[in-house]
Amino acid sequence: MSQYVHPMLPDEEHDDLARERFVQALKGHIATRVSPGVRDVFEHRARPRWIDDHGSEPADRHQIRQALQPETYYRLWSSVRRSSQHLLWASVGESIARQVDELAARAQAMDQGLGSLRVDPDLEIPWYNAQVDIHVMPGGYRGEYVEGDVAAGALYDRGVYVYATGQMGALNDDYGQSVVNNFLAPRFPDFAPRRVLDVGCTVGHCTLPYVDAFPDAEVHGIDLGAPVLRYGHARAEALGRAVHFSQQNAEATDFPDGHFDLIVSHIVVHEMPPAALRNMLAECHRLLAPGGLMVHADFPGYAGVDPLTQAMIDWDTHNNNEPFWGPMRDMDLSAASVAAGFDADHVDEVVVPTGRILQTGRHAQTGNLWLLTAQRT
Amino acid sequence: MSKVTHRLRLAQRDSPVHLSDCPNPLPPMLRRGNLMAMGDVRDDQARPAEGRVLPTKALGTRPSYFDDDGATDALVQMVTALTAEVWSLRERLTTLEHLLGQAGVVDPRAVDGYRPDDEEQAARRAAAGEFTSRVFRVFDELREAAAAGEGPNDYTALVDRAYEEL
Repeated sequence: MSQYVHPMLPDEEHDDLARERFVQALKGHIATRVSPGVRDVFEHRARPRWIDDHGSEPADRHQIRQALQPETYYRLWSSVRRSSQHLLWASVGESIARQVDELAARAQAMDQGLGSLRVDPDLEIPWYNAQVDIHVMPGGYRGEYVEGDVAAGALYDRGVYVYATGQMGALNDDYGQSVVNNFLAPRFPDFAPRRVLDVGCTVGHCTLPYVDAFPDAEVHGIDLGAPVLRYGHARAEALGRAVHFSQQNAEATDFPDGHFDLIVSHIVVHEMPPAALRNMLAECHRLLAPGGLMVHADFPGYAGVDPLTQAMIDWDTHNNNEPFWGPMRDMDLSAASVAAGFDADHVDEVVVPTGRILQTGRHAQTGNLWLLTAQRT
Repeated sequence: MSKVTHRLRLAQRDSPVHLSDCPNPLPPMLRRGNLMAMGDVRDDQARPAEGRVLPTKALGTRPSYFDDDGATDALVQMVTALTAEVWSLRERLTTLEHLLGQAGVVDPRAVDGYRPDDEEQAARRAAAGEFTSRVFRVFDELREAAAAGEGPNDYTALVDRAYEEL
């Protein structure tokens, strides 16, 4: 399966596509052939040495990481993995740098008045986006380099597809589809929200399934980055879907109280530090009308996961510009939702299937999407 | 007069060329773009190196894995990027072979526009996997050494033992 070629997708030539294929092959090779070796190296070398040195087993994922750090295998694995991430963005980014003006012009021409776009040049970028470009994407979600820049959106749209080797679907919308079809449809078959908000929507790839699922609803998407929203607006218009995009911080939006019946997010929770997450949950509580639903789709916490698997998953926290990946997984987000105002009886954590394959160092397995859900009483 | 000019031109051509004399050492593909004035670029975002449209470095310090200030990591990145280039060359050859087989004539624009069908994409993915296994074989070597319990001085010990037997 190939990515759906909507009119905003950047044009790529033969060698761009070949480099991307190599990045996919490299990431696949690391995940299936090299990462499992880290477990062997831990078992045969790092763990016995740790026990010799400390007289006890490594107690948790942090000590496992410390035990692995001197190992050449671990160092090379980390170095190649990190380089593969640089190569991913370099390979996708080269074609985008070539057509950066053309993409900006194309985005402007795409507006057919279905939805809307509101950017705020004065929006204060919070520290957790101002100091780090998440998952090593140069420029992050908000770097702007030409007038009307949409490059970050193009980089994200194509980069995510290449990164996920297409497992998020031809429109990168698997997580949105999973929430709609594997959670909302079976559990709330008669649900008909008047307004829907997608928090941290980037290019709106997971927002569009809600337009299709709830054709009578007014669908909104917010994000910190202007260029991803510009691209998302153009992409939605090109695909004939009405979405209202605005550049806002999810911790404190300008929407009125009780404005939404459904608030969703997709792999955004792990990109926010704990204090911001708590603010965002409180904001969701404020924005939901009575009976309204909140659904945050992300990855499950570390509770109950063996420490070596935790250490494997937690590599991203320390090595892939995912600084909040570990802290988020240590949080009790149900408790945080209750503290944000939701009724404990109406907060739930649910797991629904997706087609995604995870990089845990184990052989490929079908992915699950963890959902933090709450209903406003 | 013209002779003098000609000699001057020769002298210029033969004099050493400094990078700073070139208008821009980057290939055109990386420096096109209706660049914003640097004053318009926010201070809190990644800033591209001079002559580039987009930044190459994401904000956030890059981890260093070898206690050498990132030197080995930089080499690893070069090897990784070089491997991607070798791969793209191989793919280009494959494409040329297909096109030669189909038409008997090679048109460079046809190469750039060539899109493999689903079946061929699957075959290329498989081939890219084999190719990658070859280049990153060293991980299997390290893994086998770990499983075998080989220590860093085990081989030297063999040599030492042989010398002791003299």
